[in-house]
Amino acid sequence: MHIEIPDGIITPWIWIFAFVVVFFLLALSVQRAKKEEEKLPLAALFSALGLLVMSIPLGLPIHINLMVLFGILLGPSWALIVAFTVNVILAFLGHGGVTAIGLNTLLLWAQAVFGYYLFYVGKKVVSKKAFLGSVAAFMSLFLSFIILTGFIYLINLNPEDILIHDHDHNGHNHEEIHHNGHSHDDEIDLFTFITVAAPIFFYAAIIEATVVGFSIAFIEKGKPELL
Amino acid sequence: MSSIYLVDYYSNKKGFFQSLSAVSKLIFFALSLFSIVFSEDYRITILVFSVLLIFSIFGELPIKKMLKWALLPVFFALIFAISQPDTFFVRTLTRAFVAAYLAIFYSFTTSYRDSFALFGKVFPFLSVFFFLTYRYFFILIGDLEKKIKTLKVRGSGKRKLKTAGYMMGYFVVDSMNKSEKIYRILKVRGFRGRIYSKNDFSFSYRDLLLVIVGILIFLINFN
Repeated sequence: MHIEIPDGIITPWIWIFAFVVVFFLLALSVQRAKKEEEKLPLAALFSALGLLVMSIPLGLPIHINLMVLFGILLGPSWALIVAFTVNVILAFLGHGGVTAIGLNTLLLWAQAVFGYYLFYVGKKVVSKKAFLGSVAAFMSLFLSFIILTGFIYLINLNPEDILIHDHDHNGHNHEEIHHNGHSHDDEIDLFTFITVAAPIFFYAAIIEATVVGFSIAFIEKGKPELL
Repeated sequence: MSSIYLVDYYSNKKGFFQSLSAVSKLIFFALSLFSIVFSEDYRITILVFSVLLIFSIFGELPIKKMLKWALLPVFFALIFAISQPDTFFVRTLTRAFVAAYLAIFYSFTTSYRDSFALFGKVFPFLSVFFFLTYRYFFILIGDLEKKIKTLKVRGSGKRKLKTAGYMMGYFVVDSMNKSEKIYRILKVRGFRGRIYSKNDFSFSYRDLLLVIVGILIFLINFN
């Protein structure tokens, strides 16, 4: 589960930066993925499964996304390609913003990466894989929510203010500088955002963590070598 | 679940907008989206929406459905809008709504083959991945519908999360088995990391008209 960022909310410098980061990471991931070409159909099938589960609402217009599960099964490189593909297709169905594809991809990928490492590190300590999968899923979703709040904090930063502040240290007149800078009065109140988003997040995260746990229990019985 | 079915049906219909080049539609899309996102004036958003509505009526598209789908990002935008000062509440919601409607309009008028082939000009590997994902979606949706029917017949209505989890686990295991078979088939058919498709990206005067509308919206915004 993740809170999808629609168009028109994020400051351009953040979504452009997110696109640059995602394309850089994608270039690296594609190089790695080409070496594991046999995983291509499996990753595409998972991508399709991701699209499918993301079109099933959980009462409210929110959904699970299974990115943690895909991260555990595919590894970080393929998971990034899956996250990007799912976000692009969904954005063009009006589900999440097109300008936010970069940010939404990073959020989904973060879940997959955290899930992957938490599961494989945790496996050395915890023997019950289904329980471990659930915990890894919940923690990964929680970490991605923290990253989202970090993005919101960044949205509220105005780069011009930072640059202007820098100039200020060089001895320019403070009042004059602020007059030249743009106002940034449309900022998102972080406290209000967390108060509104957290209950929705926890509701969906608990559902997703439970589903991931049962999925891993099934995989452990049917094809344990996958884990 | 049937959303992609519907998009696929309309984007492959014979119509005015469907017959236009994917390039011109993408240019119109980008210009309109930038106008929505960068504009501080809500009238620009209304202008884009009005143009899209006229196009949708002219193109005989399912407007009610499209409007309903465009409401989904409004829910997420609401979370952000509540956290902003009151004066930006309506702007945030309308931006999210019209941008979503614009994306839906593009999807309803452009077939996935054209879109992915265009994408493949820049990112060939990802384009292959998009093609396969799209193809498998229809295979999986058929399987899922069968599974849900079976579960209903067997009366597995209780313990929904456990059932959903097991079902996802089943799909993962089934995908694993399918993928091994698919990879062998791809290799036998000579797959070498690319899927080729015949696409015509040529421009006609009608394409030019659409691009001009996009440029006009963009210029009005920045003047």
